[in-house]
Amino acid sequence: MDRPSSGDLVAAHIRQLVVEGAYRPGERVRQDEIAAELGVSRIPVREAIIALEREGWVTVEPHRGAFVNGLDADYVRDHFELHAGILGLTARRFIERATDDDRAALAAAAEGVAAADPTDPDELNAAVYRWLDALEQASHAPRLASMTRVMANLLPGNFFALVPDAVPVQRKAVAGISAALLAGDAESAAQGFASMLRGHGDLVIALLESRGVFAGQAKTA
Amino acid sequence: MIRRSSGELVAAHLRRMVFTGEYRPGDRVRQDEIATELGVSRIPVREAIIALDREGWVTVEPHRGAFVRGFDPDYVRDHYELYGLVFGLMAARVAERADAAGRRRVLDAAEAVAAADPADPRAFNEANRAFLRALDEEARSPRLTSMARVMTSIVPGNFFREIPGAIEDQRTGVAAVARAIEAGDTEGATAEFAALLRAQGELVVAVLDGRGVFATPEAAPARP
Repeated sequence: MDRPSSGDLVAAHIRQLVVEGAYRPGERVRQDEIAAELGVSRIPVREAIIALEREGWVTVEPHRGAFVNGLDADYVRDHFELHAGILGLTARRFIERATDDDRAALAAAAEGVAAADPTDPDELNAAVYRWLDALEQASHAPRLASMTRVMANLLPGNFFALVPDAVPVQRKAVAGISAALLAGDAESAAQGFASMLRGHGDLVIALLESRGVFAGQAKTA
Repeated sequence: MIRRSSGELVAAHLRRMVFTGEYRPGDRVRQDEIATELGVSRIPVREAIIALDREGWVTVEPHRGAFVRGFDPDYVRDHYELYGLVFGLMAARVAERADAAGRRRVLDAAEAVAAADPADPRAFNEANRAFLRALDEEARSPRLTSMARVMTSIVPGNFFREIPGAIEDQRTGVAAVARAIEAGDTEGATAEFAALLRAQGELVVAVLDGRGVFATPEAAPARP
């Protein structure tokens, strides 16, 4: 793994503030304050803002600053549907482009997910990332991979620790999607991603609603 | 129009250099040279690199610099599949979320595309942009809007001037998308948009191939 740059670390910090509800939709990002808080110069903060704008977290208004985009249930739903669409395209490319070695690596990574302790979010998360990496490598689609990166996790941190109900959904989906990919069935693999991520999206909506993060919700202390 | 920052202008400059083949896959982006050439400081160049990394044009290797990504026909095809996905979802959202006036606006914009003079790439491009803008706004999806912004075109300038045959495809495709939206057929709207952009992607592949822009095994140096 590459070591994250200081711009990446600042971006992660700002994402965290948004999903915690510390930054409200429409609020201006206080770049000087963040620089002082994290003990960095303004340059990595500026870099973080550019990355976050490309990822859809903030809108930059020239000469006015960066403003947090409103997060609501539709936003979360669209995010997960988009992510599923990209992974569905990746699945198609896997079937067209994967070599025998690629297929073996995906099968091994799928077994890794099945073998991971479902009560240990770190272990499961690592196994799921290895599986996604194997899929990414095997599909030979750098354009899709860069888009997946832009989809940066809506929830910073370990998804399975934050959303434990997602664990059984994910385990079952990984098995089903892997079987479909190895059987050359792009349509079923894409549907597997779509239904898994629709489920994840609903769980994230429930979590963010309970935190009072959504636009229009009263801020909870 | 939103006034573009100097970082965005530098990014547009770099994209054009990749499209014309001036920058080859695997080339290191000479940031100082670009700053001097454009008469800007290194900061907007650095900002452009970050944006282009997120858009998939370059790869940043920590402490080594930014390298132009290999560009091959599959890359272009995947790019247009993504376009089809994002705009297809927008069309589906218009069918689901827009009110009657919003849907009417999108359908009128589609009719303006059909009515635009196919022999005039500038007029056609304007009509098409108005259609996409209507679609984007009436879909009411900030998530899709920001994704569409990240999807900067591989083809700089007027797509319909640069890509022969694109106007005909677009006329047919937009009409099919509009029919699906009018019928409230979200799946049809998504599928038609995907088919349209897939066809456009093939035309772009043909143009770039003709220009020798694609990476060949000899031209792509070992990754740093």
